[in-house]
Amino acid sequence: MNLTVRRVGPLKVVDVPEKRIDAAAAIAFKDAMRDISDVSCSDLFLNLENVGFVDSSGLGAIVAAMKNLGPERRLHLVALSPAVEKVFRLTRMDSVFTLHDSIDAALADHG
Amino acid sequence: MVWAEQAAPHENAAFIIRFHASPLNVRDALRLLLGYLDPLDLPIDQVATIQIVLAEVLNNVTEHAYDSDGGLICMQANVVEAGLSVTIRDRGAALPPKLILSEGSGGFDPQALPEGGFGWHLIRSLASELAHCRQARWNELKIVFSLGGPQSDELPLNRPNPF
Repeated sequence: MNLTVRRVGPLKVVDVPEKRIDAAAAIAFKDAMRDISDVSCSDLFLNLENVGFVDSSGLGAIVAAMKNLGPERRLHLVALSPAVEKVFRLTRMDSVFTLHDSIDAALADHG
Repeated sequence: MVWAEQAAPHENAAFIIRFHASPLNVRDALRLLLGYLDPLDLPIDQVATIQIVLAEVLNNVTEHAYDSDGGLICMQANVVEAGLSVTIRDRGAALPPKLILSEGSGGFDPQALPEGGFGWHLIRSLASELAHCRQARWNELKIVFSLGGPQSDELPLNRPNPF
Protein backbone atom coordinates (compact mmCIF):
# COMPACT_ATOMS: atom_id res chain seq x y z
CA MET A 1 0.00 0.00 0.00
CA ASN A 2 1.39 3.41 -0.94
CA LEU A 3 1.11 5.69 2.06
CA THR A 4 2.59 9.15 1.62
CA VAL A 5 4.06 11.25 4.39
CA ARG A 6 4.07 15.03 4.28
CA ARG A 7 4.68 17.87 6.65
CA VAL A 8 1.85 20.26 7.41
CA GLY A 9 3.35 22.92 9.64
CA PRO A 10 4.67 21.04 12.64
CA LEU A 11 2.56 17.92 11.90
CA LYS A 12 3.71 14.75 10.18
CA VAL A 13 0.67 13.65 8.16
CA VAL A 14 0.28 10.17 6.65
CA ASP A 15 -2.18 10.15 3.76
CA VAL A 16 -4.05 6.91 3.01
CA PRO A 17 -5.03 6.84 -0.67
CA GLU A 18 -7.17 3.68 -0.36
CA LYS A 19 -10.96 3.72 -0.05
CA ARG A 20 -10.97 0.75 2.31
CA ILE A 21 -8.81 -0.62 5.08
CA ASP A 22 -10.44 -4.05 5.19
CA ALA A 23 -9.37 -7.68 5.48
CA ALA A 24 -7.96 -7.52 1.95
CA ALA A 25 -5.83 -4.46 2.73
CA ALA A 26 -5.00 -4.76 6.45
CA ILE A 27 -1.61 -6.49 6.14
CA ALA A 28 -0.37 -4.13 3.43
CA PHE A 29 -1.49 -1.17 5.54
CA LYS A 30 0.25 -2.52 8.64
CA ASP A 31 3.50 -3.12 6.74
CA ALA A 32 3.45 0.33 5.15
CA MET A 33 2.80 1.97 8.52
CA ARG A 34 5.68 0.04 10.07
CA ASP A 35 8.06 1.34 7.38
CA ILE A 36 6.96 4.89 8.15
CA SER A 37 7.14 4.61 11.93
CA ASP A 38 10.61 3.03 11.71
CA VAL A 39 12.05 6.20 10.18
CA SER A 40 9.99 8.74 12.07
CA CYS A 41 10.51 10.01 15.58
CA SER A 42 7.42 12.17 16.06
CA ASP A 43 3.67 11.75 16.45
CA LEU A 44 1.87 10.69 13.26
CA PHE A 45 -1.42 12.10 12.00
CA LEU A 46 -3.20 9.43 9.92
CA ASN A 47 -5.36 11.19 7.35
CA LEU A 48 -8.38 8.94 6.65
CA GLU A 49 -10.37 11.38 4.50
CA ASN A 50 -10.29 9.01 1.48
CA VAL A 51 -11.21 5.95 3.54
CA GLY A 52 -14.92 5.14 3.47
CA PHE A 53 -14.80 1.79 5.24
CA VAL A 54 -12.77 0.06 7.94
CA ASP A 55 -13.64 -3.44 9.15
CA SER A 56 -12.33 -5.19 12.26
CA SER A 57 -9.19 -6.34 10.43
CA GLY A 58 -8.48 -2.76 9.42
CA LEU A 59 -9.19 -1.57 12.94
CA GLY A 60 -6.76 -4.17 14.27
CA ALA A 61 -4.14 -2.96 11.79
CA ILE A 62 -4.58 0.65 12.93
CA VAL A 63 -4.28 -0.44 16.57
CA ALA A 64 -1.13 -2.40 15.65
CA ALA A 65 0.29 0.70 13.96
CA MET A 66 -0.34 2.68 17.11
CA LYS A 67 1.34 0.08 19.31
CA ASN A 68 4.29 0.03 16.93
CA LEU A 69 4.91 3.71 17.69
CA GLY A 70 5.68 2.79 21.28
CA PRO A 71 4.80 4.79 24.38
CA GLU A 72 6.65 7.97 23.36
CA ARG A 73 4.73 8.73 20.16
CA ARG A 74 1.03 9.01 19.46
CA LEU A 75 -1.05 8.06 16.45
CA HIS A 76 -3.72 10.69 15.74
CA LEU A 77 -6.65 9.91 13.44
CA VAL A 78 -7.95 12.62 11.15
CA ALA A 79 -11.18 12.98 9.12
CA LEU A 80 -13.10 9.78 9.93
CA SER A 81 -16.07 9.13 7.65
CA PRO A 82 -19.38 8.27 9.40
CA ALA A 83 -18.98 4.53 8.74
CA VAL A 84 -15.40 4.52 10.02
CA GLU A 85 -16.30 6.59 13.05
CA LYS A 86 -19.09 4.12 13.82
CA VAL A 87 -16.67 1.18 13.99
CA PHE A 88 -14.33 3.09 16.30
CA ARG A 89 -17.20 4.21 18.53
CA LEU A 90 -18.84 0.79 18.85
CA THR A 91 -15.56 -0.86 19.79
CA ARG A 92 -14.70 2.03 22.12
CA MET A 93 -11.46 2.53 20.23
CA ASP A 94 -12.45 6.18 19.77
CA SER A 95 -11.30 6.68 23.36
CA VAL A 96 -7.90 5.15 22.67
CA PHE A 97 -6.91 7.45 19.80
CA THR A 98 -6.94 11.22 19.52
CA LEU A 99 -9.48 12.07 16.80
CA HIS A 100 -9.51 15.26 14.72
CA ASP A 101 -12.21 16.38 12.27
CA SER A 102 -9.68 17.67 9.76
CA ILE A 103 -6.02 18.51 9.25
CA ASP A 104 -6.92 22.14 9.97
CA ALA A 105 -8.52 21.14 13.27
CA ALA A 106 -5.44 19.06 14.16
CA LEU A 107 -3.25 22.08 13.34
CA ALA A 108 -5.39 24.28 15.56
CA ASP A 109 -4.87 21.81 18.42
CA HIS A 110 -1.17 21.23 17.89
CA GLY A 111 0.13 24.02 15.67
CA MET B 1 -14.76 -15.03 -8.96
CA VAL B 2 -18.00 -13.60 -7.77
CA TRP B 3 -21.24 -14.59 -9.39
CA ALA B 4 -24.50 -12.81 -8.64
CA GLU B 5 -28.13 -12.82 -9.67
CA GLN B 6 -29.17 -9.22 -9.55
CA ALA B 7 -32.66 -7.87 -9.23
CA ALA B 8 -34.12 -4.66 -7.91
CA PRO B 9 -35.12 -4.95 -4.22
CA HIS B 10 -38.47 -3.21 -4.69
CA GLU B 11 -39.56 -6.02 -7.00
CA ASN B 12 -39.37 -8.27 -3.96
CA ALA B 13 -36.76 -10.38 -5.69
CA ALA B 14 -33.91 -11.95 -3.77
CA PHE B 15 -30.30 -11.03 -4.27
CA ILE B 16 -28.27 -14.24 -4.50
CA ILE B 17 -24.51 -14.44 -4.69
CA ARG B 18 -22.09 -17.37 -4.59
CA PHE B 19 -18.35 -16.96 -4.35
CA HIS B 20 -15.12 -18.56 -3.24
CA ALA B 21 -14.08 -17.33 0.18
CA SER B 22 -11.28 -14.78 -0.07
CA PRO B 23 -10.82 -11.22 1.24
CA LEU B 24 -11.03 -9.69 -2.23
CA ASN B 25 -14.17 -11.66 -3.10
CA VAL B 26 -15.76 -10.53 0.16
CA ARG B 27 -15.06 -6.96 -0.92
CA ASP B 28 -16.70 -7.58 -4.31
CA ALA B 29 -19.70 -9.32 -2.74
CA LEU B 30 -20.30 -6.37 -0.40
CA ARG B 31 -20.06 -3.94 -3.30
CA LEU B 32 -22.66 -5.93 -5.28
CA LEU B 33 -25.00 -6.18 -2.28
CA LEU B 34 -24.79 -2.43 -1.65
CA GLY B 35 -25.57 -1.92 -5.33
CA TYR B 36 -28.67 -4.09 -4.92
CA LEU B 37 -29.77 -1.96 -1.95
CA ASP B 38 -29.03 1.32 -3.69
CA PRO B 39 -32.59 1.86 -5.05
CA LEU B 40 -33.93 1.76 -1.48
CA ASP B 41 -32.09 5.01 -0.79
CA LEU B 42 -31.34 4.00 2.80
CA PRO B 43 -29.81 6.46 5.27
CA ILE B 44 -26.00 6.46 5.23
CA ASP B 45 -25.89 5.16 8.79
CA GLN B 46 -28.05 2.16 7.93
CA VAL B 47 -25.89 1.30 4.92
CA ALA B 48 -22.83 1.50 7.18
CA THR B 49 -24.48 -0.86 9.68
CA ILE B 50 -25.29 -3.42 6.99
CA GLN B 51 -21.82 -3.26 5.45
CA ILE B 52 -20.03 -3.54 8.81
CA VAL B 53 -22.03 -6.57 9.97
CA LEU B 54 -21.84 -8.46 6.67
CA ALA B 55 -18.12 -7.71 6.28
CA GLU B 56 -17.48 -9.17 9.73
CA VAL B 57 -19.58 -12.28 9.09
CA LEU B 58 -18.04 -12.95 5.66
CA ASN B 59 -14.51 -12.31 6.94
CA ASN B 60 -15.12 -14.71 9.81
CA VAL B 61 -16.19 -17.43 7.38
CA THR B 62 -13.13 -16.73 5.20
CA GLU B 63 -10.67 -16.65 8.09
CA HIS B 64 -12.09 -19.15 10.56
CA ALA B 65 -14.65 -21.51 9.03
CA TYR B 66 -12.44 -22.31 6.05
CA ASP B 67 -8.71 -22.96 5.94
CA SER B 68 -6.44 -21.09 3.53
CA ASP B 69 -7.86 -23.02 0.55
CA GLY B 70 -11.19 -21.28 1.10
CA GLY B 71 -14.54 -22.73 0.05
CA LEU B 72 -17.99 -21.78 -1.14
CA ILE B 73 -19.96 -18.92 0.44
CA CYS B 74 -23.60 -18.32 -0.52
CA MET B 75 -25.33 -15.11 0.47
CA GLN B 76 -28.99 -14.36 -0.10
CA ALA B 77 -30.64 -11.06 0.71
CA ASN B 78 -34.36 -10.25 0.73
CA VAL B 79 -36.16 -7.08 1.62
CA VAL B 80 -38.97 -8.18 3.94
CA GLU B 81 -41.58 -5.82 5.37
CA ALA B 82 -39.58 -3.29 7.38
CA GLY B 83 -36.33 -5.15 7.24
CA LEU B 84 -33.51 -6.67 5.27
CA SER B 85 -32.98 -10.38 5.79
CA VAL B 86 -29.60 -11.82 4.82
CA THR B 87 -28.72 -15.51 4.96
CA ILE B 88 -25.09 -16.60 4.65
CA ARG B 89 -24.20 -20.26 4.15
CA ASP B 90 -20.84 -21.98 4.16
CA ARG B 91 -19.52 -25.53 4.37
CA GLY B 92 -16.67 -24.77 6.73
CA ALA B 93 -16.09 -25.63 10.37
CA ALA B 94 -19.16 -25.37 12.60
CA LEU B 95 -19.69 -21.94 14.09
CA PRO B 96 -19.41 -22.07 17.91
CA PRO B 97 -22.90 -21.12 19.21
CA LYS B 98 -21.46 -19.07 22.07
CA LEU B 99 -20.25 -16.48 19.57
CA ILE B 100 -23.84 -15.64 18.68
CA LEU B 101 -25.42 -15.95 22.07
CA SER B 102 -23.08 -14.20 24.44
CA GLU B 103 -20.83 -11.24 24.82
CA GLY B 104 -17.97 -13.68 25.30
CA SER B 105 -15.51 -12.40 27.83
CA GLY B 106 -17.78 -9.47 28.70
CA GLY B 107 -16.12 -6.71 26.74
CA PHE B 108 -12.49 -5.76 26.95
CA ASP B 109 -10.14 -3.27 28.47
CA PRO B 110 -9.16 -0.67 25.87
CA GLN B 111 -5.82 -0.22 27.61
CA ALA B 112 -4.91 -3.78 26.67
CA LEU B 113 -5.25 -2.67 23.03
CA PRO B 114 -6.37 -5.85 21.35
CA GLU B 115 -5.73 -6.16 17.63
CA GLY B 116 -8.57 -8.60 17.13
CA GLY B 117 -11.82 -9.82 18.62
CA PHE B 118 -13.82 -6.80 17.47
CA GLY B 119 -15.82 -8.67 14.85
CA TRP B 120 -18.49 -10.47 16.85
CA HIS B 121 -18.89 -7.48 19.14
CA LEU B 122 -19.77 -5.38 16.09
CA ILE B 123 -22.11 -8.04 14.71
CA ARG B 124 -24.04 -8.41 17.97
CA SER B 125 -24.17 -4.65 18.50
CA LEU B 126 -25.57 -3.83 15.08
CA ALA B 127 -27.74 -6.73 13.84
CA SER B 128 -31.40 -6.63 14.86
CA GLU B 129 -31.71 -10.43 14.82
CA LEU B 130 -29.22 -13.28 14.53
CA ALA B 131 -29.89 -16.98 14.14
CA HIS B 132 -27.54 -19.81 13.33
CA CYS B 133 -28.16 -23.40 12.40
CA ARG B 134 -25.94 -26.24 11.29
CA GLN B 135 -27.51 -28.58 8.78
CA ALA B 136 -25.88 -31.32 6.74
CA ARG B 137 -22.43 -29.77 7.19
CA TRP B 138 -23.64 -26.30 6.24
CA ASN B 139 -23.49 -23.31 8.54
CA GLU B 140 -26.46 -21.08 7.99
CA LEU B 141 -26.44 -17.66 9.64
CA LYS B 142 -29.52 -15.50 9.26
CA ILE B 143 -29.21 -11.80 10.02
CA VAL B 144 -32.08 -9.32 10.04
CA PHE B 145 -31.64 -5.56 9.90
CA SER B 146 -34.55 -3.29 10.75
CA LEU B 147 -35.01 -0.71 8.03
CA GLY B 148 -36.78 2.58 8.38
CA GLY B 149 -37.44 4.33 11.63
CA PRO B 150 -34.75 5.83 13.82
CA GLN B 151 -31.77 3.71 14.69
CA SER B 152 -30.75 3.47 18.29
CA ASP B 153 -27.18 2.31 18.35
CA GLU B 154 -26.02 5.07 20.63
CA LEU B 155 -25.78 2.77 23.60
CA PRO B 156 -25.47 -0.69 22.06
CA LEU B 157 -23.52 -2.01 25.02
CA ASN B 158 -26.48 -1.39 27.30
CA ARG B 159 -29.06 -2.85 24.95
CA PRO B 160 -30.78 -5.88 26.43
CA ASN B 161 -29.64 -9.14 24.93
CA PRO B 162 -32.54 -10.27 22.70
CA PHE B 163 -31.58 -13.94 22.97
